[in-house]
Amino acid sequence: MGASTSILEGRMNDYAKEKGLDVTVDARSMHDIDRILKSDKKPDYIFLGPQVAYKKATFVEKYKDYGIPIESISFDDYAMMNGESVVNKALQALKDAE
Amino acid sequence: MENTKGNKLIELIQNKIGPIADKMQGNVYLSSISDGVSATLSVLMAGSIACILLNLSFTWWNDFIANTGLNTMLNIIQTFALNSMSLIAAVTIAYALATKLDTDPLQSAVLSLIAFLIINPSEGGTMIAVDYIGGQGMVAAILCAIVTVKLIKFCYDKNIMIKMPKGVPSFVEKSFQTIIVGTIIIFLFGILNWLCSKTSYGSFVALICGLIQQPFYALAGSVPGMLIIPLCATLLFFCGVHGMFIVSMLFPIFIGNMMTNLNAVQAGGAPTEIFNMGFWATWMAMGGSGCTIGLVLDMLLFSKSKRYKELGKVALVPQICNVNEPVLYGIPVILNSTMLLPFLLVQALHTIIPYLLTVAGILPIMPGYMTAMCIPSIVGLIINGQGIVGVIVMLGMIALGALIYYPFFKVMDNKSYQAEEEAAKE
Repeated sequence: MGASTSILEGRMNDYAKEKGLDVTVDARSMHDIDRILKSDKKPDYIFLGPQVAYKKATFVEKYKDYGIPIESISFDDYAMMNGESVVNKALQALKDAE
Repeated sequence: MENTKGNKLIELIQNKIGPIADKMQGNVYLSSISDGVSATLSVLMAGSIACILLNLSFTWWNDFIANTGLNTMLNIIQTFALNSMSLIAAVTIAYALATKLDTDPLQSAVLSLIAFLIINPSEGGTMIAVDYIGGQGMVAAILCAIVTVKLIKFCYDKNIMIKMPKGVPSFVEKSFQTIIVGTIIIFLFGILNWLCSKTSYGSFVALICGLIQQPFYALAGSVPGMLIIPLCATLLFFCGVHGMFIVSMLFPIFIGNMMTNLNAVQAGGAPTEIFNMGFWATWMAMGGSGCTIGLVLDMLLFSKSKRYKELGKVALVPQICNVNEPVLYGIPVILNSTMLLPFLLVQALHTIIPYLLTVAGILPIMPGYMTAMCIPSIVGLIINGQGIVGVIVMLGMIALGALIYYPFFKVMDNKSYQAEEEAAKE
Protein backbone atom coordinates (compact mmCIF):
# COMPACT_ATOMS: atom_id res chain seq x y z
CA MET A 1 0.00 0.00 0.00
CA GLY A 2 1.55 3.25 -1.10
CA ALA A 3 1.21 6.92 -0.26
CA SER A 4 -1.29 7.69 -2.99
CA THR A 5 -3.55 4.85 -1.92
CA SER A 6 -3.67 6.22 1.60
CA ILE A 7 -4.63 9.66 0.26
CA LEU A 8 -7.60 8.13 -1.57
CA GLU A 9 -8.48 6.06 1.49
CA GLY A 10 -8.66 9.28 3.50
CA ARG A 11 -10.81 11.01 0.89
CA MET A 12 -13.22 8.06 0.78
CA ASN A 13 -13.56 7.94 4.57
CA ASP A 14 -14.03 11.74 4.69
CA TYR A 15 -16.83 11.53 2.16
CA ALA A 16 -18.54 8.67 4.01
CA LYS A 17 -18.35 10.60 7.29
CA GLU A 18 -19.62 13.80 5.73
CA LYS A 19 -22.67 12.00 4.29
CA GLY A 20 -23.18 9.94 7.45
CA LEU A 21 -22.75 6.71 5.51
CA ASP A 22 -22.05 3.45 7.31
CA VAL A 23 -18.90 2.90 5.28
CA THR A 24 -15.35 2.20 6.44
CA VAL A 25 -12.52 2.15 3.94
CA ASP A 26 -9.30 0.34 4.71
CA ALA A 27 -6.31 0.52 2.35
CA ARG A 28 -4.22 -2.62 2.46
CA SER A 29 -1.38 -4.24 0.57
CA MET A 30 -2.59 -6.68 -2.05
CA HIS A 31 -0.50 -9.35 -0.36
CA ASP A 32 -2.91 -9.19 2.60
CA ILE A 33 -5.96 -10.17 0.55
CA ASP A 34 -5.67 -13.86 1.39
CA ARG A 35 -5.32 -13.28 5.11
CA ILE A 36 -8.18 -10.76 5.21
CA LEU A 37 -10.58 -12.98 3.30
CA LYS A 38 -9.78 -15.89 5.60
CA SER A 39 -10.22 -13.75 8.71
CA ASP A 40 -13.56 -13.01 10.37
CA LYS A 41 -13.45 -9.37 9.31
CA LYS A 42 -14.32 -9.72 5.67
CA PRO A 43 -14.95 -6.66 3.52
CA ASP A 44 -18.18 -6.14 1.59
CA TYR A 45 -16.41 -4.81 -1.45
CA ILE A 46 -12.83 -4.91 -2.69
CA PHE A 47 -11.27 -2.24 -4.89
CA LEU A 48 -7.95 -2.69 -6.62
CA GLY A 49 -5.85 0.42 -7.21
CA PRO A 50 -4.84 0.88 -10.85
CA GLN A 51 -1.30 -0.17 -9.84
CA VAL A 52 -2.54 -3.68 -9.18
CA ALA A 53 -5.41 -3.76 -11.66
CA TYR A 54 -3.49 -6.45 -13.50
CA LYS A 55 -4.28 -8.79 -10.62
CA LYS A 56 -8.04 -8.53 -11.14
CA ALA A 57 -8.57 -11.66 -13.23
CA THR A 58 -6.41 -13.76 -10.90
CA PHE A 59 -8.15 -12.51 -7.76
CA VAL A 60 -11.67 -12.78 -9.17
CA GLU A 61 -11.02 -16.40 -10.13
CA LYS A 62 -9.18 -17.33 -6.93
CA TYR A 63 -11.70 -15.79 -4.52
CA LYS A 64 -14.95 -16.34 -6.39
CA ASP A 65 -16.28 -18.59 -3.60
CA TYR A 66 -16.33 -15.69 -1.16
CA GLY A 67 -18.91 -13.85 -3.24
CA ILE A 68 -17.26 -10.48 -2.58
CA PRO A 69 -17.13 -8.18 -5.61
CA ILE A 70 -13.61 -7.24 -6.76
CA GLU A 71 -13.34 -4.19 -9.01
CA SER A 72 -10.61 -1.84 -10.24
CA ILE A 73 -10.64 1.87 -9.48
CA SER A 74 -10.75 3.86 -12.71
CA PHE A 75 -7.74 5.94 -13.77
CA ASP A 76 -9.76 9.14 -13.47
CA ASP A 77 -11.16 8.50 -10.00
CA TYR A 78 -7.70 7.55 -8.82
CA ALA A 79 -5.93 10.48 -10.44
CA MET A 80 -8.41 13.03 -9.09
CA MET A 81 -8.46 11.28 -5.71
CA ASN A 82 -12.23 11.26 -6.10
CA GLY A 83 -13.32 9.50 -2.91
CA GLU A 84 -16.96 10.37 -3.50
CA SER A 85 -17.12 8.64 -6.87
CA VAL A 86 -15.37 5.47 -5.69
CA VAL A 87 -17.58 5.10 -2.59
CA ASN A 88 -20.73 5.66 -4.62
CA LYS A 89 -19.68 3.13 -7.25
CA ALA A 90 -19.33 0.46 -4.57
CA LEU A 91 -22.63 1.37 -2.90
CA GLN A 92 -24.43 1.39 -6.25
CA ALA A 93 -22.97 -1.99 -7.22
CA LEU A 94 -23.96 -3.52 -3.88
CA LYS A 95 -27.47 -2.07 -4.26
CA ASP A 96 -27.77 -3.43 -7.81
CA ALA A 97 -26.70 -6.86 -6.65
CA GLU A 98 -29.51 -7.05 -4.12
CA MET B 1 -15.08 14.10 -16.35
CA GLU B 2 -15.34 10.57 -17.64
CA ASN B 3 -12.36 9.65 -19.72
CA THR B 4 -13.11 6.69 -21.93
CA LYS B 5 -9.44 6.37 -22.81
CA GLY B 6 -8.62 5.69 -19.16
CA ASN B 7 -11.31 3.04 -19.02
CA LYS B 8 -9.97 1.32 -22.11
CA LEU B 9 -6.50 1.38 -20.66
CA ILE B 10 -7.55 -0.26 -17.43
CA GLU B 11 -9.22 -3.03 -19.42
CA LEU B 12 -6.02 -3.44 -21.37
CA ILE B 13 -4.05 -3.78 -18.13
CA GLN B 14 -6.52 -6.27 -16.74
CA ASN B 15 -6.75 -8.45 -19.81
CA LYS B 16 -3.49 -8.22 -21.73
CA ILE B 17 -0.75 -7.10 -19.36
CA GLY B 18 -2.23 -8.84 -16.34
CA PRO B 19 -1.08 -12.37 -17.06
CA ILE B 20 2.49 -11.29 -17.94
CA ALA B 21 2.88 -8.84 -15.07
CA ASP B 22 1.45 -11.37 -12.72
CA LYS B 23 4.19 -13.82 -13.61
CA MET B 24 6.89 -11.21 -13.29
CA GLN B 25 5.89 -9.57 -10.05
CA GLY B 26 4.22 -12.66 -8.77
CA ASN B 27 7.66 -14.21 -8.88
CA VAL B 28 7.84 -14.95 -5.17
CA TYR B 29 11.63 -14.87 -5.06
CA LEU B 30 11.98 -11.40 -6.57
CA SER B 31 9.17 -9.93 -4.53
CA SER B 32 10.49 -11.52 -1.32
CA ILE B 33 13.96 -10.07 -1.94
CA SER B 34 12.36 -6.70 -2.57
CA ASP B 35 10.22 -6.92 0.60
CA GLY B 36 13.16 -8.15 2.66
CA VAL B 37 15.48 -5.39 1.47
CA SER B 38 12.79 -2.73 1.92
CA ALA B 39 12.37 -3.84 5.52
CA THR B 40 15.95 -2.71 6.21
CA LEU B 41 15.22 0.89 5.18
CA SER B 42 13.91 1.97 8.60
CA VAL B 43 17.18 0.85 10.13
CA LEU B 44 19.22 2.64 7.47
CA MET B 45 17.27 5.82 8.04
CA ALA B 46 18.05 5.78 11.77
CA GLY B 47 21.69 5.06 10.96
CA SER B 48 21.78 8.00 8.56
CA ILE B 49 20.49 10.32 11.27
CA ALA B 50 23.22 9.14 13.66
CA CYS B 51 25.77 9.68 10.93
CA ILE B 52 24.57 13.22 10.21
CA LEU B 53 24.70 14.06 13.94
CA LEU B 54 28.27 12.74 14.05
CA ASN B 55 29.39 14.84 11.11
CA LEU B 56 27.81 18.24 11.75
CA SER B 57 30.40 20.93 11.27
CA PHE B 58 29.76 23.01 14.40
CA THR B 59 32.63 23.11 16.87
CA TRP B 60 30.36 23.53 19.91
CA TRP B 61 28.37 20.46 18.87
CA ASN B 62 31.46 18.35 18.28
CA ASP B 63 32.84 19.41 21.66
CA PHE B 64 29.52 18.60 23.29
CA ILE B 65 29.23 15.07 21.89
CA ALA B 66 32.90 14.38 22.59
CA ASN B 67 32.67 15.57 26.22
CA THR B 68 29.48 13.68 26.97
CA GLY B 69 30.57 10.52 25.20
CA LEU B 70 27.53 10.81 22.98
CA ASN B 71 29.82 10.40 19.98
CA THR B 72 30.54 6.84 21.06
CA MET B 73 26.82 6.12 21.28
CA LEU B 74 26.22 7.68 17.86
CA ASN B 75 29.10 5.66 16.48
CA ILE B 76 27.65 2.41 17.79
CA ILE B 77 24.23 3.27 16.34
CA GLN B 78 25.80 4.20 13.02
CA THR B 79 27.96 1.10 12.83
CA PHE B 80 25.19 -1.39 13.51
CA ALA B 81 22.33 0.43 11.78
CA LEU B 82 24.27 1.08 8.58
CA ASN B 83 26.43 -2.00 8.58
CA SER B 84 24.14 -4.96 9.23
CA MET B 85 22.10 -4.94 6.07
CA SER B 86 22.91 -8.48 4.90
CA LEU B 87 22.44 -9.88 8.39
CA ILE B 88 18.97 -8.33 8.56
CA ALA B 89 18.18 -9.34 4.98
CA ALA B 90 18.98 -12.99 5.75
CA VAL B 91 16.16 -12.83 8.30
CA THR B 92 13.66 -10.61 6.50
CA ILE B 93 13.92 -12.25 3.08
CA ALA B 94 13.49 -15.70 4.62
CA TYR B 95 10.48 -14.46 6.57
CA ALA B 96 8.90 -12.83 3.51
CA LEU B 97 9.53 -15.85 1.29
CA ALA B 98 8.23 -18.35 3.85
CA THR B 99 5.05 -16.30 4.23
CA LYS B 100 4.55 -16.27 0.47
CA LEU B 101 5.29 -19.98 0.06
CA ASP B 102 2.96 -20.71 2.96
CA THR B 103 5.47 -22.43 5.23
CA ASP B 104 6.90 -21.58 8.68
CA PRO B 105 8.14 -17.93 8.62
CA LEU B 106 9.57 -17.84 12.15
CA GLN B 107 11.61 -21.05 11.76
CA SER B 108 12.77 -19.92 8.33
CA ALA B 109 14.00 -16.60 9.70
CA VAL B 110 15.84 -18.26 12.59
CA LEU B 111 17.53 -20.93 10.47
CA SER B 112 18.45 -18.49 7.71
CA LEU B 113 20.08 -16.20 10.29
CA ILE B 114 22.21 -18.99 11.73
CA ALA B 115 23.07 -20.28 8.26
CA PHE B 116 24.26 -16.79 7.35
CA LEU B 117 26.38 -16.49 10.50
CA ILE B 118 27.94 -19.91 9.84
CA ILE B 119 29.13 -19.00 6.34
CA ASN B 120 30.81 -15.80 7.55
CA PRO B 121 34.48 -15.65 8.49
CA SER B 122 34.59 -16.23 12.24
CA GLU B 123 38.16 -17.23 13.15
CA GLY B 124 36.96 -20.70 14.00
CA GLY B 125 33.84 -19.48 15.75
CA THR B 126 35.49 -17.08 18.17
CA MET B 127 34.09 -13.87 16.68
CA ILE B 128 31.68 -12.38 14.18
CA ALA B 129 33.51 -10.46 11.48
CA VAL B 130 31.71 -7.32 10.33
CA ASP B 131 33.24 -7.52 6.84
CA TYR B 132 30.31 -9.24 5.17
CA ILE B 133 27.28 -8.53 7.33
CA GLY B 134 26.88 -5.15 5.61
CA GLY B 135 26.28 -4.78 1.89
CA GLN B 136 29.07 -7.19 0.93
CA GLY B 137 27.19 -10.29 2.01
CA MET B 138 23.89 -9.46 0.29
CA VAL B 139 23.91 -12.13 -2.41
CA ALA B 140 24.99 -14.74 0.13
CA ALA B 141 22.19 -13.63 2.47
CA ILE B 142 19.66 -13.99 -0.35
CA LEU B 143 21.02 -17.46 -1.04
CA CYS B 144 20.79 -18.49 2.63
CA ALA B 145 17.21 -17.29 2.80
CA ILE B 146 16.05 -19.05 -0.36
CA VAL B 147 17.84 -22.36 0.33
CA THR B 148 16.60 -22.41 3.94
CA VAL B 149 12.98 -21.74 3.05
CA LYS B 150 13.00 -24.23 0.17
CA LEU B 151 14.45 -26.95 2.40
CA ILE B 152 11.94 -26.26 5.16
CA LYS B 153 9.10 -26.36 2.70
CA PHE B 154 10.43 -29.56 1.13
CA CYS B 155 10.84 -31.35 4.48
CA TYR B 156 7.42 -30.24 5.75
CA ASP B 157 5.68 -31.16 2.51
CA LYS B 158 7.36 -34.57 2.32
CA ASN B 159 6.65 -35.10 6.00
CA ILE B 160 10.29 -35.63 6.89
CA MET B 161 10.00 -35.32 10.67
CA ILE B 162 10.11 -37.27 13.89
CA LYS B 163 6.79 -38.99 14.47
CA MET B 164 5.40 -38.70 17.98
CA PRO B 165 3.19 -41.28 19.61
CA LYS B 166 -0.50 -40.43 19.85
CA GLY B 167 -1.43 -38.20 22.76
CA VAL B 168 1.65 -35.98 22.50
CA PRO B 169 0.43 -32.37 22.35
CA SER B 170 0.73 -30.86 18.89
CA PHE B 171 3.08 -28.06 19.96
CA VAL B 172 5.54 -30.63 21.26
CA GLU B 173 5.35 -32.51 18.00
CA LYS B 174 5.84 -29.26 16.12
CA SER B 175 9.01 -28.42 17.99
CA PHE B 176 10.43 -31.83 17.12
CA GLN B 177 9.34 -31.34 13.54
CA THR B 178 11.91 -28.60 13.11
CA ILE B 179 14.82 -30.57 14.57
CA ILE B 180 15.54 -32.64 11.48
CA VAL B 181 15.19 -29.84 8.98
CA GLY B 182 17.16 -27.47 11.23
CA THR B 183 20.00 -29.94 11.49
CA ILE B 184 20.05 -30.52 7.75
CA ILE B 185 20.18 -26.80 6.97
CA ILE B 186 22.77 -25.84 9.53
CA PHE B 187 25.10 -28.72 8.68
CA LEU B 188 24.67 -28.07 4.97
CA PHE B 189 25.92 -24.51 5.36
CA GLY B 190 28.57 -25.64 7.84
CA ILE B 191 29.93 -28.13 5.30
CA LEU B 192 29.74 -25.60 2.45
CA ASN B 193 31.73 -23.15 4.51
CA TRP B 194 34.25 -25.85 5.48
CA LEU B 195 34.76 -26.64 1.78
CA CYS B 196 35.28 -22.94 1.02
CA SER B 197 37.79 -22.65 3.83
CA LYS B 198 40.03 -24.90 1.72
CA THR B 199 39.99 -22.29 -1.09
CA SER B 200 41.70 -18.93 -1.19
CA TYR B 201 38.39 -17.24 -0.38
CA GLY B 202 38.38 -18.74 3.10
CA SER B 203 34.61 -18.63 3.62
CA PHE B 204 31.42 -19.28 1.69
CA VAL B 205 30.29 -15.67 1.95
CA ALA B 206 33.63 -14.44 0.55
CA LEU B 207 33.39 -16.94 -2.32
CA ILE B 208 29.88 -15.80 -3.27
CA CYS B 209 30.88 -12.18 -2.94
CA GLY B 210 33.96 -12.61 -5.12
CA LEU B 211 32.46 -14.87 -7.77
CA ILE B 212 28.91 -13.51 -8.13
CA GLN B 213 28.27 -10.30 -6.27
CA GLN B 214 31.26 -8.20 -7.25
CA PRO B 215 31.03 -8.86 -11.00
CA PHE B 216 27.28 -8.22 -10.90
CA TYR B 217 27.63 -5.05 -8.87
CA ALA B 218 30.44 -3.81 -11.10
CA LEU B 219 28.03 -4.14 -14.02
CA ALA B 220 24.95 -2.76 -12.30
CA GLY B 221 26.88 -0.02 -10.52
CA SER B 222 28.42 1.29 -13.74
CA VAL B 223 26.94 4.29 -15.57
CA PRO B 224 25.13 2.11 -18.18
CA GLY B 225 23.79 -0.10 -15.39
CA MET B 226 22.56 2.93 -13.46
CA LEU B 227 20.76 4.10 -16.58
CA ILE B 228 19.32 0.83 -17.82
CA ILE B 229 18.06 -0.67 -14.55
CA PRO B 230 15.97 2.36 -13.47
CA LEU B 231 14.73 2.71 -17.06
CA CYS B 232 13.49 -0.89 -16.92
CA ALA B 233 11.56 0.07 -13.80
CA THR B 234 10.20 3.17 -15.54
CA LEU B 235 9.12 1.05 -18.48
CA LEU B 236 7.30 -1.28 -16.09
CA PHE B 237 5.54 1.72 -14.55
CA PHE B 238 4.55 2.73 -18.07
CA CYS B 239 2.92 -0.69 -18.42
CA GLY B 240 0.97 -0.04 -15.23
CA VAL B 241 3.07 -2.32 -13.02
CA HIS B 242 4.95 -1.12 -9.97
CA GLY B 243 8.64 -1.31 -10.93
CA MET B 244 10.12 -0.57 -7.54
CA PHE B 245 11.23 -4.16 -6.99
CA ILE B 246 13.76 -3.78 -9.81
CA VAL B 247 15.25 -0.63 -8.32
CA SER B 248 15.43 -2.15 -4.86
CA MET B 249 18.02 -4.56 -6.26
CA LEU B 250 20.29 -1.56 -6.64
CA PHE B 251 19.87 -0.62 -2.98
CA PRO B 252 22.72 -2.82 -1.75
CA ILE B 253 24.99 -1.01 -4.23
CA PHE B 254 23.76 2.43 -3.16
CA ILE B 255 24.16 1.51 0.48
CA GLY B 256 27.61 -0.02 -0.06
CA ASN B 257 28.73 3.18 -1.79
CA MET B 258 27.19 5.28 0.94
CA MET B 259 29.16 3.31 3.53
CA THR B 260 32.40 3.75 1.58
CA ASN B 261 31.77 7.50 1.51
CA LEU B 262 30.80 7.77 5.16
CA ASN B 263 33.87 5.84 6.23
CA ALA B 264 36.00 8.18 4.13
CA VAL B 265 34.33 11.23 5.68
CA GLN B 266 34.81 9.74 9.13
CA ALA B 267 38.52 9.34 8.40
CA GLY B 268 38.74 12.99 7.41
CA GLY B 269 38.69 12.37 3.65
CA ALA B 270 36.18 13.14 0.92
CA PRO B 271 33.41 10.94 -0.53
CA THR B 272 34.40 9.06 -3.69
CA GLU B 273 31.32 7.13 -4.85
CA ILE B 274 28.76 9.10 -6.87
CA PHE B 275 25.96 6.54 -7.06
CA ASN B 276 24.86 6.31 -3.45
CA MET B 277 21.62 6.31 -1.49
CA GLY B 278 21.53 10.11 -1.41
CA PHE B 279 22.05 10.42 -5.17
CA TRP B 280 19.27 7.95 -5.76
CA ALA B 281 16.78 9.57 -3.39
CA THR B 282 17.62 13.12 -4.45
CA TRP B 283 18.02 12.85 -8.22
CA MET B 284 16.88 9.51 -9.59
CA ALA B 285 13.74 9.15 -7.46
CA MET B 286 12.92 12.87 -7.55
CA GLY B 287 9.32 13.48 -8.54
CA GLY B 288 8.46 9.80 -8.76
CA SER B 289 8.70 7.63 -11.85
CA GLY B 290 9.44 9.82 -14.89
CA CYS B 291 10.26 12.77 -12.60
CA THR B 292 6.97 14.46 -13.50
CA ILE B 293 7.30 17.74 -11.57
CA GLY B 294 7.82 19.64 -14.83
CA LEU B 295 4.73 18.01 -16.26
CA VAL B 296 2.64 19.23 -13.32
CA LEU B 297 4.00 22.75 -13.88
CA ASP B 298 2.97 22.49 -17.54
CA MET B 299 -0.53 21.56 -16.43
CA LEU B 300 -0.77 24.42 -13.95
CA LEU B 301 0.66 27.04 -16.32
CA PHE B 302 -0.40 26.06 -19.83
CA SER B 303 -3.60 24.00 -19.69
CA LYS B 304 -6.34 25.05 -22.06
CA SER B 305 -8.59 22.20 -20.98
CA LYS B 306 -10.41 22.13 -17.66
CA ARG B 307 -9.42 18.52 -17.22
CA TYR B 308 -5.70 19.19 -16.94
CA LYS B 309 -6.10 22.41 -14.99
CA GLU B 310 -8.00 20.46 -12.33
CA LEU B 311 -5.55 17.58 -12.43
CA GLY B 312 -2.61 19.95 -11.99
CA LYS B 313 -4.17 21.30 -8.79
CA VAL B 314 -4.86 17.85 -7.37
CA ALA B 315 -1.43 16.53 -8.36
CA LEU B 316 0.79 19.38 -7.13
CA VAL B 317 1.14 18.63 -3.41
CA PRO B 318 1.61 14.85 -3.70
CA GLN B 319 4.04 15.55 -6.55
CA ILE B 320 6.26 17.70 -4.35
CA CYS B 321 6.41 14.73 -1.98
CA ASN B 322 7.49 12.43 -4.85
CA VAL B 323 4.06 10.81 -5.13
CA ASN B 324 2.99 11.07 -8.74
CA GLU B 325 0.24 8.51 -9.25
CA PRO B 326 -2.33 11.28 -9.88
CA VAL B 327 -0.18 12.37 -12.85
CA LEU B 328 0.54 8.84 -14.09
CA TYR B 329 -3.13 7.88 -14.10
CA GLY B 330 -4.58 11.32 -14.76
CA ILE B 331 -2.75 12.38 -17.94
CA PRO B 332 -2.61 9.31 -18.30
CA VAL B 333 1.06 8.53 -18.79
CA ILE B 334 0.44 4.81 -18.25
CA LEU B 335 0.10 2.95 -21.56
CA ASN B 336 -0.11 6.21 -23.46
CA SER B 337 2.27 6.01 -26.41
CA THR B 338 2.26 9.82 -26.76
CA MET B 339 3.92 10.16 -23.37
CA LEU B 340 6.39 7.26 -23.52
CA LEU B 341 9.32 9.17 -25.03
CA PRO B 342 9.43 12.13 -22.60
CA PHE B 343 8.66 9.78 -19.70
CA LEU B 344 11.79 7.71 -20.36
CA LEU B 345 13.93 10.65 -21.48
CA VAL B 346 13.32 12.79 -18.41
CA GLN B 347 13.97 9.81 -16.13
CA ALA B 348 17.28 9.08 -17.91
CA LEU B 349 18.35 12.75 -17.76
CA HIS B 350 17.77 12.73 -14.02
CA THR B 351 20.62 10.22 -13.80
CA ILE B 352 22.90 11.55 -16.54
CA ILE B 353 22.91 15.29 -15.84
CA PRO B 354 23.58 15.20 -12.08
CA TYR B 355 26.16 12.46 -12.72
CA LEU B 356 28.02 14.53 -15.32
CA LEU B 357 27.84 17.67 -13.19
CA THR B 358 29.33 15.69 -10.30
CA VAL B 359 32.11 14.27 -12.47
CA ALA B 360 32.82 17.78 -13.73
CA GLY B 361 33.17 18.92 -10.12
CA ILE B 362 30.28 21.41 -10.33
CA LEU B 363 28.33 19.41 -7.75
CA PRO B 364 30.25 17.85 -4.86
CA ILE B 365 30.01 14.06 -4.47
CA MET B 366 27.30 13.36 -1.92
CA PRO B 367 28.17 11.50 1.27
CA GLY B 368 24.92 9.65 0.57
CA TYR B 369 22.51 10.32 3.44
CA MET B 370 19.14 8.99 2.45
CA THR B 371 15.79 10.62 3.09
CA ALA B 372 12.41 8.91 3.22
CA MET B 373 10.70 8.58 -0.16
CA CYS B 374 7.95 11.08 0.65
CA ILE B 375 10.27 13.86 1.80
CA PRO B 376 10.75 16.47 -0.94
CA SER B 377 14.02 15.87 -2.78
CA ILE B 378 15.34 19.30 -1.90
CA VAL B 379 15.85 18.07 1.68
CA GLY B 380 18.18 15.33 0.43
CA LEU B 381 19.97 17.95 -1.63
CA ILE B 382 20.65 20.13 1.38
CA ILE B 383 21.65 17.47 3.91
CA ASN B 384 24.03 16.05 1.31
CA GLY B 385 25.82 19.38 1.06
CA GLN B 386 24.93 20.29 -2.53
CA GLY B 387 24.50 23.91 -1.52
CA ILE B 388 23.11 26.74 -3.62
CA VAL B 389 24.54 25.25 -6.84
CA GLY B 390 22.58 22.09 -6.11
CA VAL B 391 19.37 24.07 -5.66
CA ILE B 392 19.97 25.86 -8.97
CA VAL B 393 20.62 22.53 -10.71
CA MET B 394 17.44 21.10 -9.21
CA LEU B 395 15.37 24.06 -10.43
CA GLY B 396 17.06 23.65 -13.81
CA MET B 397 16.12 19.95 -13.90
CA ILE B 398 12.48 20.85 -13.15
CA ALA B 399 12.47 23.48 -15.90
CA LEU B 400 14.11 21.05 -18.34
CA GLY B 401 11.48 18.45 -17.49
CA ALA B 402 8.72 21.00 -18.09
CA LEU B 403 10.28 21.87 -21.45
CA ILE B 404 10.63 18.23 -22.59
CA TYR B 405 7.13 17.28 -21.46
CA TYR B 406 5.54 20.43 -22.93
CA PRO B 407 4.98 19.46 -26.60
CA PHE B 408 3.71 16.01 -25.66
CA PHE B 409 1.48 17.44 -22.95
CA LYS B 410 0.09 19.94 -25.47
CA VAL B 411 -1.05 17.08 -27.72
CA MET B 412 -3.00 15.62 -24.79
CA ASP B 413 -4.29 19.02 -23.69
CA ASN B 414 -5.57 19.96 -27.15
CA LYS B 415 -7.40 16.66 -27.47
CA SER B 416 -9.04 17.21 -24.10
CA TYR B 417 -9.88 20.80 -24.93
CA GLN B 418 -11.55 19.81 -28.20
CA ALA B 419 -13.50 17.08 -26.45
CA GLU B 420 -14.66 19.59 -23.84
CA GLU B 421 -15.69 22.11 -26.51
CA GLU B 422 -17.69 19.47 -28.36
CA ALA B 423 -19.33 18.30 -25.16
CA ALA B 424 -20.29 21.91 -24.41
CA LYS B 425 -21.89 22.32 -27.87
CA GLU B 426 -24.12 19.29 -27.49
